[in-house]
Amino acid sequence: MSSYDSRLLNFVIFAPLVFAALLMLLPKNEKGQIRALTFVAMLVDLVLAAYAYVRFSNGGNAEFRLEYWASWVPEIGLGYHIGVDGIAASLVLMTGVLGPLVVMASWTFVQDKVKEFHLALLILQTAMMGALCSLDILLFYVFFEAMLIPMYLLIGVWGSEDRQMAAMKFFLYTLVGSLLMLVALLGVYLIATPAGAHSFDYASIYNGLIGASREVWACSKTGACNLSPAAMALKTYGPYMFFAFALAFAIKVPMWPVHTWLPDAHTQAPVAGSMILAAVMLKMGTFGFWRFAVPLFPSVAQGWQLPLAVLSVIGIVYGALMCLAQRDIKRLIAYSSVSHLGYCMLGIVAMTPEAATGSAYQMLNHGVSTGALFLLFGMLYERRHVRLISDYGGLAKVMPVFTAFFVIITFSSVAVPGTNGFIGEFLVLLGTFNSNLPLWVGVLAATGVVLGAAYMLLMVQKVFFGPVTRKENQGLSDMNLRELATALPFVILVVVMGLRPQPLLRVIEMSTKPFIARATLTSDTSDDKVRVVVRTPPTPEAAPAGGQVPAVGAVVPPEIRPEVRRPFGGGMKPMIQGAPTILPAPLMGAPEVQR
Amino acid sequence: MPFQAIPTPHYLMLAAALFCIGMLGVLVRRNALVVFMCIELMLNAANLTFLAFARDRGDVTGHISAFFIIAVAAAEAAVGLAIVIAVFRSRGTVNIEEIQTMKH
Amino acid sequence: MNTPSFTMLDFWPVIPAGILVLAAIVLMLSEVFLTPQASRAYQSILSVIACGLAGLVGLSNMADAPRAVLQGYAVMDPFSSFLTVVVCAGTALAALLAAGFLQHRNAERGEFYALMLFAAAGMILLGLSAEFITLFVNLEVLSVATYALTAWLRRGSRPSEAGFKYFILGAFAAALMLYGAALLYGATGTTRITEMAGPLTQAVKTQPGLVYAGFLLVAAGFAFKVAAVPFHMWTPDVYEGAPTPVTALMSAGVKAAAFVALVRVFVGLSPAVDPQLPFIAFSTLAVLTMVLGNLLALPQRNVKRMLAYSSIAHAGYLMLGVAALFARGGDTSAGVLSSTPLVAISSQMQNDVFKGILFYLLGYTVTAIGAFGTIVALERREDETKGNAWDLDRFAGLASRKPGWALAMTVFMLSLGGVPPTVGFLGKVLLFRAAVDAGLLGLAVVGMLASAAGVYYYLRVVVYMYMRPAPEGALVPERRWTTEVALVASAVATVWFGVLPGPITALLQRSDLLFTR
Repeated sequence: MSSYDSRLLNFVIFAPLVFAALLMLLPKNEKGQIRALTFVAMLVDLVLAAYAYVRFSNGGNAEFRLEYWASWVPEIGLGYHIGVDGIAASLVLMTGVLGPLVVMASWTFVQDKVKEFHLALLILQTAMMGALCSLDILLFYVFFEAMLIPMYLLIGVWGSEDRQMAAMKFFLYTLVGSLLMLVALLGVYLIATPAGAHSFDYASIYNGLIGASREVWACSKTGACNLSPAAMALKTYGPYMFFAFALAFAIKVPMWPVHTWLPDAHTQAPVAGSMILAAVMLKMGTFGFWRFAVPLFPSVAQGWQLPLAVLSVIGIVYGALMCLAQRDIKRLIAYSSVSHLGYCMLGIVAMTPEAATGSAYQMLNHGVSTGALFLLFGMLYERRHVRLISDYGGLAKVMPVFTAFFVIITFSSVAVPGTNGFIGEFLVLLGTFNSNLPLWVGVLAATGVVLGAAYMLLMVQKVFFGPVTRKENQGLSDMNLRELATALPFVILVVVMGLRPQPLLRVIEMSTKPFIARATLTSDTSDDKVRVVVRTPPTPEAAPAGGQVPAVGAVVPPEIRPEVRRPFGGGMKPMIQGAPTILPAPLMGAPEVQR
Repeated sequence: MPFQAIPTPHYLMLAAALFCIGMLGVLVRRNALVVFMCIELMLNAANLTFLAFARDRGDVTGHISAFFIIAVAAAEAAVGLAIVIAVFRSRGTVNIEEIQTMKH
Repeated sequence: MNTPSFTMLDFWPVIPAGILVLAAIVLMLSEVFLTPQASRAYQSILSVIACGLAGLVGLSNMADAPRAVLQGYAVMDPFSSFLTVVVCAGTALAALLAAGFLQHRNAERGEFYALMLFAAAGMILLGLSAEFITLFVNLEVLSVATYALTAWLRRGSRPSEAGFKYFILGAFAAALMLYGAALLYGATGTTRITEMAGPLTQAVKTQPGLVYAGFLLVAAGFAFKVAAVPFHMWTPDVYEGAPTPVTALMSAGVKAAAFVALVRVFVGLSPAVDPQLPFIAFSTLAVLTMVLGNLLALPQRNVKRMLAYSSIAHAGYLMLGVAALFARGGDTSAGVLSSTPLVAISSQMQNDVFKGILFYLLGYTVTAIGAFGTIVALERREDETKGNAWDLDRFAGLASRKPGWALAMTVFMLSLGGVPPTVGFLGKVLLFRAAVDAGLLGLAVVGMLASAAGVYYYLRVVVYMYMRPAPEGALVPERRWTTEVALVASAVATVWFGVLPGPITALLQRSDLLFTR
């Protein structure tokens, strides 16, 4: 890897922010320029993200690649550590793809406070990319929370009539969950890393927990409960911490029964907000389960596998049934998200390789198909400003091209073979039947597919086919060039991802194996299967040979730091001072050490 | 030595009684000036306690403390009275129950 | 008794306070030569310069080793030096806000700034007092100055009412504390906190009533000063009625100083008594303060009053840190989370708590002053008597009228709510980290849930600014450059310390933050 690679993700994350700063300089009334600049920014970010994806997929065999580490607040063991594995790289790519499309989708939709709108979009992009790339738990948390603010404003300022309530609901739901997660995060950080050298680094925390997790597993399965202090703490507090993490992410996913914010948020959000919310932000929940909740507390996750699977299945079926009952199209699409994300969750908690791969693929699919549905419906909404199914009818006659697009995306959404949706749901169901979950879980989940076909096709039929029932719809114009250009990538993605999924699946599979190994950790899982190996951050627990994690009670000398004696202040102090001596090569400008 | 005939606990009891009277006064009385006096009473109770203990121990700290407290109490009284006057000027009353314009 | 001998080293810690007092005297004297119409713009500038100088001296004192000075009547440690920095920053910002505020009301006088600087000097000295009478005197220096400041606009009915309430309850609290100190003096024969612990261990066996009564009274006095529930009832009225720059100073500086003194007294004294006792007391106060502070703020439409309740809630989070200081000793459940033996890391964990408290104080100071500063910028003199100068409606549509101010206020609200990337978030992380480390998981969860409720009312301000149209005929408030400087400075600090806290945390990165014997 070149030293450029190690900074690549920095560019991916912060390019939108830099453009946001440029955007600030533009005058308020230059709406066209503002849009163009934002579009360029998103395009640049897409190119960077795509390049990062390519670099990742050819980048050797480490689990986490394109790493970058810099000291941030060394006093509490918080580092700026980023890097991606397969799933993160895939989601980064999807976020990048979505960026320019979102700008195009709101080209005419947003006419009010244009500058602020695009600033929010760019900041949101940075926050989402940052959350996906974080390899430091607190850094992840920072980005995870920071996402809320621009999204809150997107919904609250540019949304429809009930926007304030929806925005507030969205913010508070997410915040309550994530604040509890913060406590759990602090707890796991204190348990997993040795006193005096506490670290928020994902690798340190995960590797510090392996031994304890094994002991807890052995204790719960075989009754061998001669626990070390860390394992004792993990056994006592682990379930609570897992639930705090799980709650935060379940709200974000959203899983039944904490999904109630989603229909409101989606319904009220502007097109751009709905697209981003559906395509990326909901994935933060599933991604959080994948990266944090399940691996950090494998024994709890295993113990609660069935209840979690049941909640996912309830989400699938309930979401689908709610869709059948909806008259509001946007609400229908929102509930279909609940249903689709149920598959993602089921794939994660099934803990088999196929299911996990399918789940990750389903995350991408859902981003494409639901993002596209919101986009397409946004076009309709822009023309008519109504959302009810009964307000439309027979649109196929007036808007044939639009109808074609909508139908293709619908096929993807209901998982017709040949589209991307099929592969994801098929893999999830296959993995679920192969897992140790009871058969009926898989069977019930499969009914979701049927229901999904039912509600989507019913909706399409009512909206697009039959006679034109309303006068207002007669004169609707079909898609214009810009709209076509916005929607076309989605259709291409649907087809390409459906027919040639292998390259994408290959990247996802790179992180499936370690995820499954971590999720199904038992007392005799070997260390090198699950250990998080990262290149750059100095892991505080100097691991002795054999990979045995030192008992966390072991005395580790506190970081020895030069006494800070500066007469007047510390303003000039460079951030990297106080960093441990094993500084990453790129930071020091020294030649890269090849692994 | 007639003064030493009074044992220290008596002083302390007196001080405690004064303190309690002062505290009750602050809590129940409605006239701002009386409340103000009650606070002075509490301060003087503390003073008396310091002095009693100082005499009991033959220690000088308590005596010095008393001087400081007297000085501080005087400063506090000056500002306090000024504020009471300002209140009286703006409302024409010093009844605490009528000094309640801000609502929760 | 030996004749006391002092060296220059003894006076280092009081230099910042000395600078402030000197500047205050200059301000008061210079007022003599001015006609009522003369420009007084130099006064706030002079105050800011004095605060800056004092703050720099405080900053340089951070590097010095902790030691007792002035015969043990005061100490010099990073804890108090950092407070000096915080207080100076807060006072400087408040002085900038005051300039525009007072000009607008024709009430700008040198005495106002002088009182502010006296109060600041009192805060600084309170932070380094290590003896009860010194502590009492400094507490009064700061209190008397703030009483006068609160009632500064004495013709209005609200300020005088607020001043009166503050005076009565403040003096009451001081008297409680003083009586408690007298009882402790009786039990130990000394008023120096560093020397008290030893005799106290004896006294607690022979005269437990005396000792515990003393403790209780001192704690109650402090609880009044930091506005912990149930000793908070004066806060909303006083904060609402006081001139807003003074409210800013009170919410930040007075509280910070009181917390520092509280920590010093109780960390110094509690080894003598059963640690369970202060733990129960402070954790109860913490829970009540966090929960009620946030709940009472929820229905407020008056933003100034809402910020008053919010400052109560923030005192609750700090109280959680104080409770964490005593969690180790008696609480058997504590320490399960920690991985090393209880005794060995206790002091290091205490140090973590100190770090958290100090960082939080700094973060709260810049944020709260900024938030009150926005109110200063928006309020109009005519509405103050009607009491609707601070209504939420005043913020409606601010984003379109004054985007910069709206953005700054958003930053402050998010920071108060603890949302990253602001200093409020990082402060919460540091504070709650220490609390969780001490085993206070339950309290931390309560605190987090309470602060989630808090976000609701902070966000409501953002809702009004960004999502409600400006009312008809809403005046665009005039600019005053001092106010804007203060707003920009606090907003930048709020974000800067939240994103790059390196300099601050490095400053606090030491194992001897608090001087203990």
